[in-house]
Amino acid sequence: MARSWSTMEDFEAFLDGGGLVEVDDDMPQPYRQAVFSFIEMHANSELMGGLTERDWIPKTPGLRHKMAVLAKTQDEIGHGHLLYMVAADLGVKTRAQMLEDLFAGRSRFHNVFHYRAVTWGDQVAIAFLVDAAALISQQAVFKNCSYGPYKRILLRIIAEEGFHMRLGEDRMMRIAEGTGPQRRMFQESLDRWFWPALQLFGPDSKPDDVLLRWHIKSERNEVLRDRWVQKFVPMLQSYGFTIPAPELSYDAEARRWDVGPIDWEPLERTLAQGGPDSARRIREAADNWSRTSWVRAAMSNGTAA
Amino acid sequence: MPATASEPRGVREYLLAFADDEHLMGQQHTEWIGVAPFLEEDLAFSSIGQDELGHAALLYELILDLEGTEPTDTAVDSLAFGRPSEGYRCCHLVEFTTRDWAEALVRHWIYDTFEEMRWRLVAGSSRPQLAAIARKALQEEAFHRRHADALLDKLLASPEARERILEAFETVGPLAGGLCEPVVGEAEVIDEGVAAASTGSLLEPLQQAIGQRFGYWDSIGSPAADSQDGRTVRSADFEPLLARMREVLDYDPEAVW
Amino acid sequence: MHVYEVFIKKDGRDEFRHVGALEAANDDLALVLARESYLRRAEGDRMWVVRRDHVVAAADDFVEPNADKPHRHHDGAAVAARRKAARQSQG
Repeated sequence: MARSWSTMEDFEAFLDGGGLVEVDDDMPQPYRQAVFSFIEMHANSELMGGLTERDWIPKTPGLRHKMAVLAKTQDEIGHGHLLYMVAADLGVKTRAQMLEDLFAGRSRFHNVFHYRAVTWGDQVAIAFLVDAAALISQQAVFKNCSYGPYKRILLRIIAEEGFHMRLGEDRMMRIAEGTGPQRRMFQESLDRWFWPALQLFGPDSKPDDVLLRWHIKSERNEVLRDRWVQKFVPMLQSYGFTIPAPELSYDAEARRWDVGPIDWEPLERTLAQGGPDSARRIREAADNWSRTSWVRAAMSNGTAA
Repeated sequence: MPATASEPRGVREYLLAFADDEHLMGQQHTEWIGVAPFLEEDLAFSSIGQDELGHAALLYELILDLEGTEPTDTAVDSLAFGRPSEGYRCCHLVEFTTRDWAEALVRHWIYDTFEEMRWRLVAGSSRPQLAAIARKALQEEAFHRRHADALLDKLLASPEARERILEAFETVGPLAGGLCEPVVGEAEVIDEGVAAASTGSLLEPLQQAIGQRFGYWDSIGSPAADSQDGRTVRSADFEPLLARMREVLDYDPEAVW
Repeated sequence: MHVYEVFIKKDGRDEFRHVGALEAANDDLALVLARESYLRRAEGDRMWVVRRDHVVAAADDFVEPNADKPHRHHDGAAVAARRKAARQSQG
C-alpha cells in the first residue's frame, strides 16, 4: 500500500487539498466502494450505449458514413473496456463479474439506454443529444476527479467524445438541411429523446452527496443539466426544430432558457422496473455472452486468471 | 492512366467483383459490433470491418474514375447500394449469414487469406491508382491475417473450441472456392495488365493455406460447384441483406444523410 | 487470461508512457488487441505490452527516502541572492 490515512477526516482533507488517490493506496472502504460503483455504472452505460446503436449500424446510409459510425461505436465500446479495466483494479468485482451482473439485470446504467432507437433519426438524436450530455458530465468529473486512474482515462475518453460531437452535429445538420421526410423523422426523434437525454444528468444533487464531497463529481447535477439546456435548446431551434417542452420560456434579460417542470416519473419507473427496452437489450447481450463462453474458456486455457 | 470511358468491360466487372466482396465483407462484420466474446476482440473486429468498407469505397471510386464520373460520396453510395441485385458481383461466401461467432471467425480467416493473395496480384497493376490502393490494403491485410491467426492458434489448441471451429468450417469452408471464381471477361484484365494473374489461379494456394490451417481441404468447393455462374447469381441470403443495407436509403430516395 | 500493461511512444516527442491495460491469452494476442484498444488513431508510433505480473515494482518505502536529499537540489534562490549581492558590491 502506498499511502494510508488514519481517519476519514485526514482522507477528506487530502481530497480537499486536491490529492489524487492511486489504485494501491489504502483508501477508506466507503470511498473505494463509491468510486467503484460510479466507474462501473459509467462503463455499463458506455457498453449499453454501444448496444443501443448496434441495431442501426448495419443500416447506416452510405459507405463512408458507415465507417464513421462504426468507428464511433467502437470508441464507445472501447470506453467501456477502459473503464472496466480501471474498475476491476479496485478489487471490488472482477471484469467478468461486472459483465455478468450487467447481463443478469443486476447492475445500473444510464436511463436513456433503457429506451429503443426505433428510427434512424433516433440513432442520430442519441449520437448528438445523449453523447453531448455524457460529455458534459464527463468533463465535469474530469475537472476535479480525485481518483487518479479514472481521471487519466477520462482525458482519452473526452478527446474521443469530441470527435463524436462533431460527427453528430454534422449528421444532424445534413438532416436539418435535408428533405421534408428527413426533418419530420428527426423532429419525432427529438420528441422521443429530448427528455430522456436531459434526465441523463439525474435529479438535483442532494446536499450531502458523497460523490461531491469526495471529489468524484465536481458539479451538481442541476448545474450540468442547465449547461446542456442552454447550449442545445437554442441550437436545435436555430435548425428549425421544436423543443418538446410546452412550458419552454426564455428570460431575455438573463439570456437563459427554462424548460419548465421536469417529469421524473419515467426515470423513477426505469430505475424501479427497467425501461421500455431494457429486457430485450439485456437478454440479447446475455444470450450472446453465454453463446461465446467457449471462446473465453479456451482463451483462459493454460493461463489461469 | 487517364480516366477513360473506354475501359474494357471485363476490367469493370473485375473491379466491381473486388469492390462488392470488400463491401459485403465489411457489412457482415458490422453485425458483430458489441457482441464479440470479449471487449478487446470487439474493438479489433470492428477495425477490420472498417478497413474492408474502406477498401470497397476506394475501389468504387476507382471504377467511377475510370468511367469518367466524379467519385463523390453520393456517386459511390449510388454504385455501392443502388444496383438491382443482378448487378452485384460478390461471391456467396460474403453473402452468407453466419449463425455464430465461430462461423464469422472462420469466414474472416478464409476471406483475408484470399484477399491478401488477391491484392498481391494487383500490387503492380498497369492502373497506378489500383496499385496504390493495393499498397495500403496489403498493410492492413497483414494485421487482419495476424488477428485471425492469433485467435485460431489459441482456439484450435483447445479441444472444445477446436470442435466448434471445425464445425463452423464445415459450413463456411465449402463457400471458399467461390472467392476464386472469375467474372465474365476476366481475360481482358490479364491482357491489360490490370492484374498479374487470373483470380482462378488463387484456388490452389488458397486450398493449400486452408489445408494447413484447418487440417484438411476436401470440402473446399471448386468454383463450378458453387453455381455462381461468373458471379452473376446471388445466393438466398443476398436479398434480405441488401434490403437491410438499403432500409434508410429507401426511406427517402431524395435525401442526403 | 493475463492482464497486460500497454505503453506507447510518439517518436520525437515523448518517452514511453503507460496508457492502460487489457486482458489477453498470450503475448501475440496482447499485441494484436492492444493496437485496436489504444492506438486506433496512431496515438503512438511504438508500442510495448508487458504482462502485469512481470512488472517489478518497488515498494513505496523503498523510494521514499530519496524525497529527502536536499543536497541534490541546488537552491536557485540562494544563487540568485549571491548574484544580486555580487552585482550590488560591483555597482
